[in-house]
Amino acid sequence: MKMSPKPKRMVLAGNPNVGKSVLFSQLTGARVVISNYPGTTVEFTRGKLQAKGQAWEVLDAPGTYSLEPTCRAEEVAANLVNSADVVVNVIDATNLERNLYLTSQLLERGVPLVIVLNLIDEAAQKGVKLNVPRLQELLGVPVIPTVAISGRGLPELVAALPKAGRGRGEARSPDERWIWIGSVVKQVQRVTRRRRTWLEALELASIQPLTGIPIAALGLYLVFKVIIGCGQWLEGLLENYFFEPFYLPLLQSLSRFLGDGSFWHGLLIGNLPGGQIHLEESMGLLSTGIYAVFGIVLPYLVMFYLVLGFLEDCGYLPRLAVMSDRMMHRLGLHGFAVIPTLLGFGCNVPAVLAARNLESRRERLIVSAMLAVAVPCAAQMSMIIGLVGRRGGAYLGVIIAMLFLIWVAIGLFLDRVLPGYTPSMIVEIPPYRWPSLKAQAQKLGMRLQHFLTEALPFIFGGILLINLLHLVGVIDLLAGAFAPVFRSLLGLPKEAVSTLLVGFLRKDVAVAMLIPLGLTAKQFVVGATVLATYFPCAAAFAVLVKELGVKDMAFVAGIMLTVSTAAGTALNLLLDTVLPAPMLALFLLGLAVVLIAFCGGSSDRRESRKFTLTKERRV
Amino acid sequence: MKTVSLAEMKTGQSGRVKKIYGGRGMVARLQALGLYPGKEVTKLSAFFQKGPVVVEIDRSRVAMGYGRASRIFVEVGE
Repeated sequence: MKMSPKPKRMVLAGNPNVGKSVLFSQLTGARVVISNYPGTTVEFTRGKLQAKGQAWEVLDAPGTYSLEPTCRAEEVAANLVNSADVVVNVIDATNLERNLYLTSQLLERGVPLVIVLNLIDEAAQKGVKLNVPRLQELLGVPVIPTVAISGRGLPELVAALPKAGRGRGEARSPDERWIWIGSVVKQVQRVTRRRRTWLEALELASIQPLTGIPIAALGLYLVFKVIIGCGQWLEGLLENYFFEPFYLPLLQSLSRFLGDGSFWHGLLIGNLPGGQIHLEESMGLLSTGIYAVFGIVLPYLVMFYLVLGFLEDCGYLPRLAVMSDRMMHRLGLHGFAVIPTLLGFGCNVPAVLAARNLESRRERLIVSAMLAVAVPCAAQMSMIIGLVGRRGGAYLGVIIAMLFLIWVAIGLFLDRVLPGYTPSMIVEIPPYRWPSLKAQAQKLGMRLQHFLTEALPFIFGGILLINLLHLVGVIDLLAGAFAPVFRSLLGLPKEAVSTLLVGFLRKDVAVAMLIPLGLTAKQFVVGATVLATYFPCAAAFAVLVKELGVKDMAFVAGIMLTVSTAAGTALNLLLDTVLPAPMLALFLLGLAVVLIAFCGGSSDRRESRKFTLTKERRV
Repeated sequence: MKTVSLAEMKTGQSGRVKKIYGGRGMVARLQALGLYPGKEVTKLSAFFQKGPVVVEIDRSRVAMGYGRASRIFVEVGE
């Protein structure tokens, strides 16, 4: 078959959370992250499609309600539409009225258009009946009903691409658009009221304060329990059925073959504390390097991403945004900011990108700073849970409480010093949907693959770097220079300086490097907290500079260094000497709550002053 | 008939949007979500202490902060 030489460009456009990315992944076979909340896609994704001798370049645009953009993600979408040979406008069939607003704008622009009526099965379930031929007649462009997740209607869509029609091209005012939409909807839609299903009852219960807050609290507790409990179980399985019986003996024979003291032995196996290979302490590429990634980090990472994937796809996250809106307002943000924060517990890189869904630069700066300083990524958190957890849950509690306190304090501080105020949120609440197993598995696979390809080179690089620096003597030089700070303020031995260097590359490895230092539980808590907060890893740093700009990032970096020194010093002074670990954890948590309750909301007060003025004008 | 803001409206109550006070950006965003003068809305939930408000328009649900809800005025029956 002869291929057309130049691929044509197809742009998938539509409201947030209508299934554009599902359609994209079905059309192109490319794998993209899809979820059930508005704003999963913030940057466009490119894929390829071959159909009937025509090559297509398919672009998956971020969701937008309108071509007059209100945030950066929507800007991307509006620009893409102008560059398209064909725009495929994906519409949520359960919600025709609202979706047709964007359609009316696309018709006005006169771009070649095909309309996909997605979620047609869910519409039928909800008692929404649509007259597709009539809708096609009224809009003047092909309308294809689909169920993207199962692939229904996709061959018809591909066949309809050459028949893409142009709209009439007359500009309308927003009011005229809604009048037109009203008349279209009246002619094509019949809605029959049905009895409420239990899932719909749960939808309502989870946004009411009386039932929603207990649901959120129970949910959060379960999330913690499942991740830590199942993570430990997986970790034990790997330890007992792989590392102990197979991997360690393998390393031991390699160690004998290479001979202790040789260069390669030092690099691959590391040193032998007590004459034995110690998977956690030897610090060789194959010993600690492999064990840290697969033995400690991976079990928790898998559990975290499984739980996150479920939360994303079932549609709970926007409800969590509603639940936490009040608290986030006191920190100069609004509820939607919990979504980037939650993503940050996976990896800070996609989290900082997800902050693009927030409207103002001010909010993006606040949430990025809070993320970068106080939200440890899953790899680092796994390491901390794996290593500190065994010295008693209370020590783990101290670290978590301290990070929460820092998170709150940074929000309060920035809200106070940054001019302007945070507008309140407007977010659509999607219906609950059962996550598709296939989509879940695909998403988990993508995230793990991303972790392994991104992490392994950096982990090996970090271990390599530290071995080399040791050889050259740089570490001793730095350790000597910073020793007074480390010993007096943080109570850490000077060798801990080297972990800060590695932390620039990988935080998880840096935490692992604390093990061979023979620290007490208290020193471990101080070290882990300082490592979590002092600076982002290289990957997160790069994306922060890109999103915030050099100047703001320098400001954030200043906050980081101050905060991490202060937090480390405070822990060094208080933990075990003044208060035992469980009491200190409760104290820090209490302090954070008091700060939120009594010191928060400074920008909100500025906003309400402004509103009082407009009200007077109104009367 | 009386006019109240979405923030003052009772949970479960329905009404017709009368006027939205706000900047161009906010009005455009609400409009794109289907919330504009003349539209029927039902309040689904409200949080104490100036918390967010959730409303239903057609078959979609929109949550908004208290600040925005108090600038959207709705005509409700007595």
